[in-house]
Amino acid sequence: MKKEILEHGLGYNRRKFLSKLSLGLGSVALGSLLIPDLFSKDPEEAVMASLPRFAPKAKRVIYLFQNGAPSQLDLFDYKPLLQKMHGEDLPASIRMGQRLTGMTSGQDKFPLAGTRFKFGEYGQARAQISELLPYTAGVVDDLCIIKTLHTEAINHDPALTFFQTGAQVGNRPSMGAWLSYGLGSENKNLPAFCVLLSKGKGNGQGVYGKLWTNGFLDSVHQGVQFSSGENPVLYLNNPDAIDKTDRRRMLDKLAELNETSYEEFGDPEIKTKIQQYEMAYRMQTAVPEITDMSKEPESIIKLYGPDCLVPGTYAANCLLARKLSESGVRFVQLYHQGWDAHDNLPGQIIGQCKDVDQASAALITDLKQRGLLDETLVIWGGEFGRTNYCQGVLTKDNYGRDHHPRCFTVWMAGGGVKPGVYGETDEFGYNIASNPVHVHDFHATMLNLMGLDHEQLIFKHLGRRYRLTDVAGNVMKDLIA
Amino acid sequence: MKLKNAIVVTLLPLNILLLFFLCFSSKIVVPAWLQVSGRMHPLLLHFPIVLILLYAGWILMTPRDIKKNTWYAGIAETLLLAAAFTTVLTALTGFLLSKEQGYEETTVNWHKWLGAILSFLLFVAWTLREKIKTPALVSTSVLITTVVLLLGAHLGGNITHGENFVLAPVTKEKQKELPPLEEAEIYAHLVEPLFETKCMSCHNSNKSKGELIMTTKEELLKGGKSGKLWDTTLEDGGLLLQRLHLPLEAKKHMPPIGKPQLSPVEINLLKAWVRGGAIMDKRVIELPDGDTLKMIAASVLKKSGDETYDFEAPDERKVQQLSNNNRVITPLAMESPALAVSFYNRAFYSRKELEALQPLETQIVSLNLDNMPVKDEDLAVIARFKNIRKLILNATDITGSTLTELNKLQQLRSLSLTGTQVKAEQLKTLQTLAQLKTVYVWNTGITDQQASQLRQSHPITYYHTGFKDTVTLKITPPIIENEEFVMTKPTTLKLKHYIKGTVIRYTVDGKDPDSITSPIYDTSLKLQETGLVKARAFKPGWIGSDVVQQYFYKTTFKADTAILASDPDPSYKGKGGNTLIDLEKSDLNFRNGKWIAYHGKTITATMLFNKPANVSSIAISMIKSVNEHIFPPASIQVWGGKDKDHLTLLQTLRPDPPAKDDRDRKSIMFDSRFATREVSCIKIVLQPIPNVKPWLKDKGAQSWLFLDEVFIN
Repeated sequence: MKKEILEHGLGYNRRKFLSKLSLGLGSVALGSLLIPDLFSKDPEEAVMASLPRFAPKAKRVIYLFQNGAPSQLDLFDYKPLLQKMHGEDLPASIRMGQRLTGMTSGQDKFPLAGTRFKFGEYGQARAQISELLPYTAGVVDDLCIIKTLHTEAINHDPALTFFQTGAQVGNRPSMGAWLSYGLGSENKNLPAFCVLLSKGKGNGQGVYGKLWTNGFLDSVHQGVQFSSGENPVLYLNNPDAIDKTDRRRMLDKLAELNETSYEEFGDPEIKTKIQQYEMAYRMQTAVPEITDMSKEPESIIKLYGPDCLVPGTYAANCLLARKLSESGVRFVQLYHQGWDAHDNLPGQIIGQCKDVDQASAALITDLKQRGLLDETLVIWGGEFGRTNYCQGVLTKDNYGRDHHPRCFTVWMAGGGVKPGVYGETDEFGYNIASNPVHVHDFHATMLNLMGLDHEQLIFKHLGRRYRLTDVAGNVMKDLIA
Repeated sequence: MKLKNAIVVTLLPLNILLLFFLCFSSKIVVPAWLQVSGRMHPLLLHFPIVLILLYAGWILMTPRDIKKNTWYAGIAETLLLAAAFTTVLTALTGFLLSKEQGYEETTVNWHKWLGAILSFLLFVAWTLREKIKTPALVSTSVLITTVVLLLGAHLGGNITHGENFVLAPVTKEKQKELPPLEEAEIYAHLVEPLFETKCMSCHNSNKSKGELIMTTKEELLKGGKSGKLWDTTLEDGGLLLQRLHLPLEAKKHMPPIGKPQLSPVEINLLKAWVRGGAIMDKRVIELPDGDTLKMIAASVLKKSGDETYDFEAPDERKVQQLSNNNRVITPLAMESPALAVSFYNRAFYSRKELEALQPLETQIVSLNLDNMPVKDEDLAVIARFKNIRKLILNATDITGSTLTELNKLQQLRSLSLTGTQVKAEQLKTLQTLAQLKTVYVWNTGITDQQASQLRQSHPITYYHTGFKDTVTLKITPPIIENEEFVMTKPTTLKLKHYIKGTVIRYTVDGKDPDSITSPIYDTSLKLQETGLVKARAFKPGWIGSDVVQQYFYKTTFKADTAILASDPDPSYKGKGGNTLIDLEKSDLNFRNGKWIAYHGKTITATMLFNKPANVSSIAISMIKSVNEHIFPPASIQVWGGKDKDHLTLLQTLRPDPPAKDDRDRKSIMFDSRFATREVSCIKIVLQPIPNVKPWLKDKGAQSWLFLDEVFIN
């Protein structure tokens, strides 16, 4: 049906286009060049069935993005050698001339900086976890810790964009949009892709709307950013003197008008708009139910930490993420800013960890106790890692670390991943020693867990077929339970 | 007629040529240009098939009265000649083609000989056509020819399309059911099936090529003519792997050219198996994690968790019809017959909406009723969905009194009951459920002890009690909601806390609030005086919060002019003297143009009133930030009088120097109180401390003074 409407709209457009140009056959050819899908009859491409290709392990994703890049060397990837060689220069044989950022490429020395923090071994996998993350250490048996993620970009924006969209240039759909496109929304009363922002005290890097963009996909797949105040979705309440029936009548009338203009112009975005108004109407009842934290028992507040009731904090976003996910939101994307510790890293990272540690672990525990962890994939990590050498002045217990794309740690939990520690970096923590996982591989694996084949989740745009993994990516079967 | 004669003449030499080819088959090498004509075989072969069948039909099925006509024999003769001629051509090209590689040898041989025999038969039939007139003899020979044709053609088809091409879609080969990964044996379920399909057709007890028999473990271990199949001490693993890795054209390559080859995965599997010591008797899960063979096994074998469903797929229209915004029905995956159902929106839910799912009752395997007002009696409806594997009843209204209904759900694996009223005794009644692995009972009042008792009586089920409120944490500080801190009149103090049941205690005297003596905050509290408000939150079961503090500044008189004796630092000029009397209390961002600052210099500011005022106190608001070298002044002098030439010193303050561990940027205020007096001019003199503290890195550096407002009362 949708297809027919689309065809009708496009057909009308085409007639108009041709009559305006009045160039006969030549313009038909031109028309098909300008709008390549105009004569496409392939129904499968036009309307992608919103169903997983095979039985999914996970139905939903909660992505706890640690924006700014946390230092893997101070949190997960313990390297005693760095402590032993603290202050010594990074051997050239390890760096192998690999590129650096402009911030440290001018340094004449690259003094190795051993972590100031103590590590302990936790869980069945004897995972090394820093004293900064005691709560995370408590749920380690549910975590799949990947120490060997690596990326291509070396600066925040491209790396972040690459992680979110599979390309460094910001015009592709974000992974949440791809999932929304591939699987549709579970709960039609809420957006399929929600974005929650929070900020730590550490050196921060911006996040922008392009990170949750729908790119060239239909704009219903765009991430919906929740505001960090007490009203996460603004303007959701009816204004004074307008009740539910009035609102309904107004929307019906508006839809009629929109239909008329759709018939005239045939712009599919008008259809999207009608859908969005309808969803906003349904959100008027669904959202207050979700953002109402008053029914959460006290044990939940203790689990997530008392911050979880303070709007705009990471803990509050974690709790909200659970509620959204529980209500069928396909992809909840959190960003916590403040991990970009180029100097005074120990001081900054303590605060950042305090912000996120308890609530991240609480999310795992909470999903687990509700029987939801096995169908929810939780991911924690930044856009790249940090260097093993010091940026700026190194003292006995203070150092800064620059960007390091060649290895960093990300953990996943629930949703059919195999708990344990995957991959090894070399003893300097600079290069990968075994089992590398590229960002594309990571995307492919995530889609696979959701029941999608990354090679088949395709959208044709401007004459070329696009994927989240573009032309790369392997599913990391080792990580799948 | 010329053409016919020509054909008749060539028939004999062509058949002789064919016979010659067959006799000296092994000596003949086909040049490339002839290969081209060989490749015409698939095209030509259709002619003899059609012509011979036509001929046979003509001879066998024509009614007798037609046979009497003279043209009957003419047509028969022409058909026979055409058949004989095209057959010999087809046989010749087929022979040339058979010299090319890549065809299954036995079948090609049979096909070749049948084709040749057919050609000779037809030649004989043509030659003797005048001699044989007895109808019975004619019919028999035609029948024999047809049978030979059909056999040969069938084998030809097998060569190009594979065996059983025609019937394959209906005769689905019975695949050996492989056990799930957890139960699979390394040899019996990984290696043997591979040998069976790719090796055993030639290496069995009937046809032991190379004296190798692979059908039993004992014979396999013995090896064949060339020796044992593997030797793990060799770098290449021995004979089996050597033969697999030879180039396809090599004579000793296995499986031989023309036979189904091993896929790369299968080769890897055998490689890993031999390298791992060719284990015969272990199960896959006994292999260490990370073992190559185990990983390959994981991709080849199914896991026991992968559910298969034996019921029919639902009527797609019915699914669409019943699915809506609040009752979402989705197949688990493309082509899966199983359905997952989720309800959303409490207001929508009713028992009727649940009952409406009845047409899909066999297909629903997962039902999510999270946070729906499900009543006890509704469980009887749910119990009809007999294939449910996963049932979520979190935060529903059930009390557990009808929980026994769920015993009908014999497939149930996972049951979530968190946040409901169910009791441990009621869960005991669920013990007939043989598949039930987990029951989630967090937030139900069921204790850990009860959960472990339940488990003892029903060991296959795990009762997940989740997180218990046993920890003591520090509560968050209260939040000060006031936005304006400069008071021209008594102002309500607005404090709040997000956690219910929290008590906020406060002080206005600069001391930290405690949980006993400090007054409890209530919303009627009005602030009258300049001062520091400190507040803390307390709640039973929590550690008292950190202190939150805020200066409130009362202002009565607004000076008309303010003059700075010397210019402030050019980076922090503010609006000059006016900055001090604009009644705008700035935040701590000292670069926002609302602060004035002096680096290592004394601040002298004079404030003038057009009308004399009765002044009794002056509050000076400043910043302290030790790390940024912003210090409180060493001394503050407050002067007052009629005009700037007639001032008396009203008070001198000597602020405490900052402590070593108090380095964060924060607001500070100095409140100078003195006996009320009428003044038209006030002067303040702030002396910086000579240099920053010796415990700072740049100990010799000069200190900063930052000033944003002077409040006069």
